[in-house]
Amino acid sequence: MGTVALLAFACATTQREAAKSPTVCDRGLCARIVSRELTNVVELEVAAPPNVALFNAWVAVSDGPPCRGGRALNAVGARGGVRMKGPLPLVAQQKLKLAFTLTLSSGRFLDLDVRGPAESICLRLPVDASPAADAGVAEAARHE
Amino acid sequence: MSDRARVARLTALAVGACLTGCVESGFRPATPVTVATSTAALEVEVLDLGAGLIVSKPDGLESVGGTVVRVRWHAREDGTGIARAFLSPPAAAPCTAGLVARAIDVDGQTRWDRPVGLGREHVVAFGFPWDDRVTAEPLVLDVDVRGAGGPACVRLPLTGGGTRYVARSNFVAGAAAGLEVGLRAHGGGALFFDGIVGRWAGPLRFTVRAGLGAGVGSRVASGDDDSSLNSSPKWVDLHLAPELSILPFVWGSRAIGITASYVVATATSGSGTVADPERDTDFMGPRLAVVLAHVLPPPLGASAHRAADAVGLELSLLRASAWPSGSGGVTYVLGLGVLFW
Repeated sequence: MGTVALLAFACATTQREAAKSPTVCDRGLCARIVSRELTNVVELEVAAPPNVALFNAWVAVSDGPPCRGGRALNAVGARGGVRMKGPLPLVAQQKLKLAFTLTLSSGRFLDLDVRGPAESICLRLPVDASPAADAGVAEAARHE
Repeated sequence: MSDRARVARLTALAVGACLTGCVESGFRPATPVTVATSTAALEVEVLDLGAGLIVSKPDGLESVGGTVVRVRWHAREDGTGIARAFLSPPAAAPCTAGLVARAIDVDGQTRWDRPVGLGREHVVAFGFPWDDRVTAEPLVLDVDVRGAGGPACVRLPLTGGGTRYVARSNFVAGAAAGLEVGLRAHGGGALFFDGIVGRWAGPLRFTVRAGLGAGVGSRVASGDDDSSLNSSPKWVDLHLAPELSILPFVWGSRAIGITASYVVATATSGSGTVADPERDTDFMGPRLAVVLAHVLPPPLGASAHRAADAVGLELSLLRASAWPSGSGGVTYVLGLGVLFW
């Protein structure tokens, strides 16, 4: 319930469009950061090939190898529910909300670890780096 | 008692422990409990077992108390993973039955991925829902491991079988708050707020308790001191008391403790005006208290008379050499408070 409330609250109060976020694709898996909510929730649009699942996600604090470390994912909001543990099967098109315990500030990367029966895909998305965006997040944090 | 009530009690204990300084609670094996497995090429050692908050939601809004088992994880290669973990009786088939871990925490991070991907060296904490059997029956920890060699179940004996547990720390910290009432006529009453620090030495708990009180009461007219007649002095006091406590009676999670202390205090009352002159009252005296506590039951193999954490009611009687609202002389002071150990 707590996370549901968090996600609903975030949606209602501090959602901020990340209009300039690029769509990143690899082997049929595409993802784009749609918005950041509060300071630790990010909403994604994900298009996935068949038979793959989200295994993990990380917020990498440095430009190191992707999907190898950082702050690990805590919860996923998907299809109206909250999943407290993975993996999460992906469908062709969906929106996901990923919650971390780390503030999503600029200069960080969001790594998605997606696996299928034959291969793994690690998709690295840059977290919005615009100063205005960070100011918005900081403002949201002040209102928490 | 319902599961909900149990969880609430345990959460209160864990929160109480944290409020009183997050003292390291929990119990560690007196001798190392280690299991090595060649199938999964790893070695797992039990670090400790105790109650804790299973922070199951990332926003921290929903945290529940439960049993936490921490292990040191040493794998010979990267890439092993933990799919599930169970607390179960030794007779259960490995990795099939028992309490299922609700949270898996690796090096301080609660992990979402399953299997939880691991490197070579980690401290892994498994959070389980609370169950009273944890403290009373032999248990094993089953870890369902996924590695290059395929799935494997690593079983660690936790309690029973002669495994002894000792407290991780002898340091104790606590807090108390409540009401004290002078038993003489016009004795008045005072609220008190105390902090408690000290340590265990075997079954004895040596602490120092210090705090402040704020009271009000009708002062007894004494002689021809008209200024004090029918006045209602308000006072504040600072007090300090070395304490010795024991928990001689323990039944599961219920316990009766006895605390003996010697209180030294100084109180100031009055507003400093002619009508209400400022007055200092020093008082001291022995204090005896009975504590009705809900204790965190120690695991099987640990001393039941050394509660890691407790929350309870304290009923005390102080023989004070004076009392701020009294006219002087010995006053018996009855106290009732809430206690976090």
